Amino acid sequence: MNNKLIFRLIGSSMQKNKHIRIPFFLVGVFTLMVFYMISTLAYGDGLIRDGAELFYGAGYIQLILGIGSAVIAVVSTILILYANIFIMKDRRREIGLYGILGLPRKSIVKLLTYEALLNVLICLGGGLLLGTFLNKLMLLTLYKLVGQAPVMGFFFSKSAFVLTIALGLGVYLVCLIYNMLSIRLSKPVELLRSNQMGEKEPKVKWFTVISGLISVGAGYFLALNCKSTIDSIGILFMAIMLVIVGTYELFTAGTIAILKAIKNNQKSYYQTKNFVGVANLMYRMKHNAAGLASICVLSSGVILLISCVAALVALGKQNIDMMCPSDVMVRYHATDENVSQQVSDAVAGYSDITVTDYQTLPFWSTVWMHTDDMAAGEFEYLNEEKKYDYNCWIPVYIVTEEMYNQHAKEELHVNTGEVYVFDTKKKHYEELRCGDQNYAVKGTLDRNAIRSVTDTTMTLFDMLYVLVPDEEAAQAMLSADPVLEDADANQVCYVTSFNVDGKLTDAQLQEINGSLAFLGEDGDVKLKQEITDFFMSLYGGALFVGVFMAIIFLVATVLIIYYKQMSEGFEDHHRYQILKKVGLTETEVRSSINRQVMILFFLPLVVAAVHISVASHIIRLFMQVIVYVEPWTFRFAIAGSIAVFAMVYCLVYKVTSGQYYKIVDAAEHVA
Amino acid sequence: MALLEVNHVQKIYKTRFGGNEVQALRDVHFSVEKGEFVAIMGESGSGKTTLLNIMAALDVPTQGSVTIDGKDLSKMKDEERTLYRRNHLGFIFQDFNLLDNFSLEDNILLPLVLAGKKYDEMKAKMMPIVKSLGIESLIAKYPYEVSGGQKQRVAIARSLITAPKILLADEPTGALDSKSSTNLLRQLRDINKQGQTILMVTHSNVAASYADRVMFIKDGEVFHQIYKGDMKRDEMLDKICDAVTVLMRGGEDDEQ
Repeated sequence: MNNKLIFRLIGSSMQKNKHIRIPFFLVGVFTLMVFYMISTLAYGDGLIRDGAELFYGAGYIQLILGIGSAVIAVVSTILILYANIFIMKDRRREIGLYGILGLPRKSIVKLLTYEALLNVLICLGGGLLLGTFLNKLMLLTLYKLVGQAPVMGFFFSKSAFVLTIALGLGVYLVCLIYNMLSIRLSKPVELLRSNQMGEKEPKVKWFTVISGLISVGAGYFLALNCKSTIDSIGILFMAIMLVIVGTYELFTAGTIAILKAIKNNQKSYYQTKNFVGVANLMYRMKHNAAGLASICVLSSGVILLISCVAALVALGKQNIDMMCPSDVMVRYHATDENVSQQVSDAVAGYSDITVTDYQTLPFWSTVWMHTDDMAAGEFEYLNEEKKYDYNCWIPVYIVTEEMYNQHAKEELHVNTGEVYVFDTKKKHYEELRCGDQNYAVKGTLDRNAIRSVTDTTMTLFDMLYVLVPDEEAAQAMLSADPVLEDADANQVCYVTSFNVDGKLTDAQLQEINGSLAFLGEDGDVKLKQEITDFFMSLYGGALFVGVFMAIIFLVATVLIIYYKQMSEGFEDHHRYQILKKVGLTETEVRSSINRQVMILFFLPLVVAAVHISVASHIIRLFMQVIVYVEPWTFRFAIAGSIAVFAMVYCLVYKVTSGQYYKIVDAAEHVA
Repeated sequence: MALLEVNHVQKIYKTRFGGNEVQALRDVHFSVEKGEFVAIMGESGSGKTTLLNIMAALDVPTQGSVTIDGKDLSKMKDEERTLYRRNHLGFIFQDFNLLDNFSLEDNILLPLVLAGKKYDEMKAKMMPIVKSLGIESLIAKYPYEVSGGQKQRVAIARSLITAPKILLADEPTGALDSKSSTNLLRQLRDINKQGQTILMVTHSNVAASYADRVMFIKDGEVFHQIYKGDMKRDEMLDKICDAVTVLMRGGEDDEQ
């Protein structure tokens, strides 16, 4: 057997099956390209050069990109394998025919090997080439996003290059092994007949239906009933897992149960528009349920990623303002007012920094607890038993009437035993109780005026702000706590905040940090400018990875849909030919096909949209681990993402259903 | 007037790009009376499948016309023709053409469901037919669970359920063993005795011997006809065999 003939066979087979082969190449080129681009950023010197970050937060971006590249490697492996399995299924007859025509097995192995080499060459070559061109573009976009000056020169990473080649070779080697095994295990005649066997009507697996309902129900229940960010950390993963498992189960068994129910109802089953569709859908579901469930899960992933990224970008500034209301914020503990004076002296000593709005606010803070079974306004001191149950932690901030009025420019007045409060749970109550203390609540105070007392590491919790008459009242409130030492109870915290004019230079930033270094462990200096830089690069990185992941998932979805339509087209071709002979008119054929394709196509999308809507609450809570997410902004982000995704999805539908109809309606087909 | 009239039908296929012309039917002219059982014989390439497709309203003649009950099929629009086929013609195919994802019952009911009939009405029409074909115990099964002969009987039931004017059979015994073939042909003859007009295309001499009349097609023309009249079936078979031999010898002479 000479090589020339083998190459001719490869060539003609590729030509004949180009509607399957072209997407295969596209997916290979695309996934390897994305992997190469992401890993060039993650392992190259575009972010960190000679051990130093090129801009603030570059290290974080690199970390996120590293994780992202690993995920993309896994997804692309699965994707290429899936496409390969699909192609092999379609080619079994072709290879069986070669066997029958007398091509020895050795030559078939040779043919498959050459083909694999060709695949590697095209996909890896294409991916690396395109990636190299787009890399520079991507880096410049990223620099622009985080405000870094562009650099000249070629952007290349040796380790990313090697990794991409290793991934490409690895994936196509696995494909080759799979292909060899799949022809080795079967005889030529079987290969030739492999897709003509009759099969049983699927049975309803009631156990799976029920288990699926329970899984999805439990997942939804967990997601909807999650109360706090702390809860969400533990629950989110489980809820997602439950819903994914349930989705697979319901797609496989639930759909068939519904179709069977329709079928058992003679009145609706024996209607022209249902008759053909129900039976066809039942068999299609048997074959494609897992694929459709995958589409559903992937779609949910894409929508989720897009909405999270969009929300992050939209909420970036708002979050920074919340975290750091003034340009500079200094928090410190002190037992006397001396430290306060030192801070004020240090700030007064700045040579070329214009300081405005200088303020110092003394306050007291502690942690109480509140569980769901307690009445509103009722709290308890932390006890040994509940000390680590963060779910019921309520950080408490206490300010005096004098200081509050000074900051809020208000004229509130309370007597001993009276308080103003602000509870972030937004509950109103007449009486504040903790342990054996009782206070009458006179009203709600304005939190924004004293927002600076909030400990930014505690933003996950619900918080309580209390206004008391004077220092004694504050200390009395704390010292009643049996757990707190007296020394801790008496310790006053201070937060000093001021704004500066214009953008600070690096030297000025250093001057501020240096002048306040004497606070040591006791102090916490926050510069809004530094925080902004940090978050912008974090958002930039998240945005980057998010967009790439979304694109990869979208490509995966589109590919699966495309192949699904193809394979179903071939299966249905025979069926519709018979129906036409028996007397189904062209219009009836068209409408029947449309109905089925629509159901198959849009079921995953609708289910994904429902999943995401249900999940939006818990996802928002979960995102608050990183940043505060405003509910309405997040809902808009989700609605927008669903709309954008649905549009892309419809476009894919239009293209693939055209292809599908062509196959089904082809007058004569090779199969 | 005859039930089916085929008037000087000519069919020419053009190869793609309008190159060569292939004349499948040159000039076919005959008629079939109501209640007749006619077999059309001919070798592969003689044009008999083309003729059947034209009579079945699947294809239109290049020239000439086909009328059933006075209706000219070639003048109908595509959609109209499909509906006419569904409501007035019945088909049996060599490879059965049953849908493997429907139970046998649903396969039989298919034409009526497409016509939008009620279930009870359909069931009432189906029962006597499946009883007379001896398949009433099978109808809950699926095509892959029954034998070829049984599949073909289901196909007959499907074709009869619309009470068609003509039953068109394309090599109905082609995929069956001799015992099943015999059973099937006897059943077709019984159905014919009850008044059903049957038109069967075949190249099996045995199958043709069950018909009242056998037409031989060669090179796109009706070449010869045999009427059964009072003949017994084996006499008929002898005559058919003779005719086939003559037909084949003629072919050999042409080659020399």
